[in-house]
Amino acid sequence: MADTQKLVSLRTCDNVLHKVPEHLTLQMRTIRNLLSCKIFSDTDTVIPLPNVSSQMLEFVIKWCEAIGPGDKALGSMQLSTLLTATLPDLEESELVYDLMKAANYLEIESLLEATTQHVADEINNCNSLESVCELFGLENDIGPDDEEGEWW
Amino acid sequence: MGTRSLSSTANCRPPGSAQNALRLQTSPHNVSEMQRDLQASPQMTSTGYTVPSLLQLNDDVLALILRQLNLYEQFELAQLHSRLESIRQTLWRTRVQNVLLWGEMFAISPPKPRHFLAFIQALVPHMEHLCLQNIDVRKLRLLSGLKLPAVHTLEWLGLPTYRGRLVDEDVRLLQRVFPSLRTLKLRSCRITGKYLGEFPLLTELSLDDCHHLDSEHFREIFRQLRLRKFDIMEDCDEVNCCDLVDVQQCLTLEHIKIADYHLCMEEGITQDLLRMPALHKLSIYSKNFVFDVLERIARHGNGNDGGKVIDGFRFSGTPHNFERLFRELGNLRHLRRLAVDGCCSLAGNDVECITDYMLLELSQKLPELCELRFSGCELESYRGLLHFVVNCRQLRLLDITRSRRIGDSFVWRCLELLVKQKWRTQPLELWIRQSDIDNNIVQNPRFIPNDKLLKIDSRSLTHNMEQLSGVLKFTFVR
Repeated sequence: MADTQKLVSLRTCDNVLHKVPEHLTLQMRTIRNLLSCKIFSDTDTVIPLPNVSSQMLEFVIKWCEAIGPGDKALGSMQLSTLLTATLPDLEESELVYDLMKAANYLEIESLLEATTQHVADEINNCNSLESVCELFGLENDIGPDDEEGEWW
Repeated sequence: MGTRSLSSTANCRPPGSAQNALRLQTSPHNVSEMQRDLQASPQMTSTGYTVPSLLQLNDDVLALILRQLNLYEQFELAQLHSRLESIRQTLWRTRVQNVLLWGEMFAISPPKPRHFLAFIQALVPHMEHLCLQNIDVRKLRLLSGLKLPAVHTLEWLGLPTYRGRLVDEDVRLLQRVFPSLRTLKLRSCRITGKYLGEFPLLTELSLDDCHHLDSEHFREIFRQLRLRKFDIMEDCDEVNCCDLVDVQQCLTLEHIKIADYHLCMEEGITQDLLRMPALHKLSIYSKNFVFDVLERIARHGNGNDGGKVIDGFRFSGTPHNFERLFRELGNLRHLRRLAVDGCCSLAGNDVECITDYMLLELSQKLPELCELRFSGCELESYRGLLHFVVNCRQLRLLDITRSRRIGDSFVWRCLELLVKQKWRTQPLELWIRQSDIDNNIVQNPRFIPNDKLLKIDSRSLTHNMEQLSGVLKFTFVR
């Protein structure tokens, strides 16, 4: 059977060319806007993605496949569960940060919400500010709080 | 080319291409971004492991992360870095007019008093509405040295335990700290009401589960304050309640929510209430005297003796006697909007329902009805509803959400009547959500040509579906 699926050519920052089904790229607002411009409407034109690596684009496409087309109104819990189920390799924070940057650049709201919720949950799981600093590589540039008073 | 799934991503890697190309190109434009990257460079931990820094994310993404945290967590996180602090300030500038603080926010890492004050002071420039829920009352007392004139609405939803309970002296503190309060809601307090009259700008007062209220203080409250709304309906039980007979002295009141035992509902009091010049809504909770209250209000609610004209009535709950309820409703001659919620037989009693005859009589007595809502009611049959279509010429909305024993036949009979009503200028709206009328009836070829006479809506929700049972709500012509 002849394949009628349209593919969009995306070149990532590590110079890898990806041919991605158009229906998946339409979930990325940045690409959707570009495709609506005449210059990129020809699917043979390669769209450069200077801020997205090949590895991240593959994560992004897995996400777009999982979330499906249209604006599904999923709650933050559902998004979080979907993120863990779809991208189980996201243990390392470096990967999460890169994925957030990609989601931000490509304007995929659902992925941004899921990843920011993932980080917020990790912050919530810390039981002290010191452990937040340690986990998120933060160096306090404001100065320590004075010790005083009682706690309750 | 064959179809492929993600894998439908075809990697066409040119030979010799770098796996990790530099993401930033050096140009004067992004020097500041490079500086930020340097600042956000990975931190070494004691074990030598390099931790990637959260600060490598741009401000927009950091703001999104902060927004997923509660206000206190946002404040705490912002204390860790000046960039986070700047993002926190930008967020709060537009997003913290309405602030809700609850006890569990502080449960895991309880703030030191100075830290809690710093948190509140950071909120102050933006906050207009503050709701404190299940907060230890000692935290409120920490604010005694502050003045927050920008806050005009305060809700104190206390814990039912001793530590959560606000007392009279705390009300004085509220008056000092929040001098511009216009709306005050107090729940689960141990107050007498002694200092409630000292909020000069207050227009809305709501008291819920406030034990120890003293009738004597209410005389002063109603004399001193220019309240527009007063709500004490869910205050306390009928044995330990105060007498609010002086409520009529507050001539600015537009909306009153009380229970019948607050007024004893004597004839004279009822008349006085209905003479209050600004009163527009009156909600009365009545457990055992629904018919007495309805009868007394209805007697003076036709504008005959200088009182108000009732144009809207809503009742939620199951009355002891259906027939009497509908007979009393027939006395509200000028009613334009009638809503009855959850009027169905009690468990184990299949006999009682709203009969066709009750509805026939009511439709004849209320010719001015425009809106009729029977939600969650059990009817004898659809025929009772047809009487309203025949007798109420101004009827434009019939809401039968969640009501039973109506069926599709009602729609066909209704259409037959509407076709003959040449004087109608607009269609009759019929809300059928979760009733026993088939939602697909609108696609029926027999219905389609008549959709200008009858507009069927299977989506609209009847509001206030979870109303307190036993509340009689009257609205008056202004």
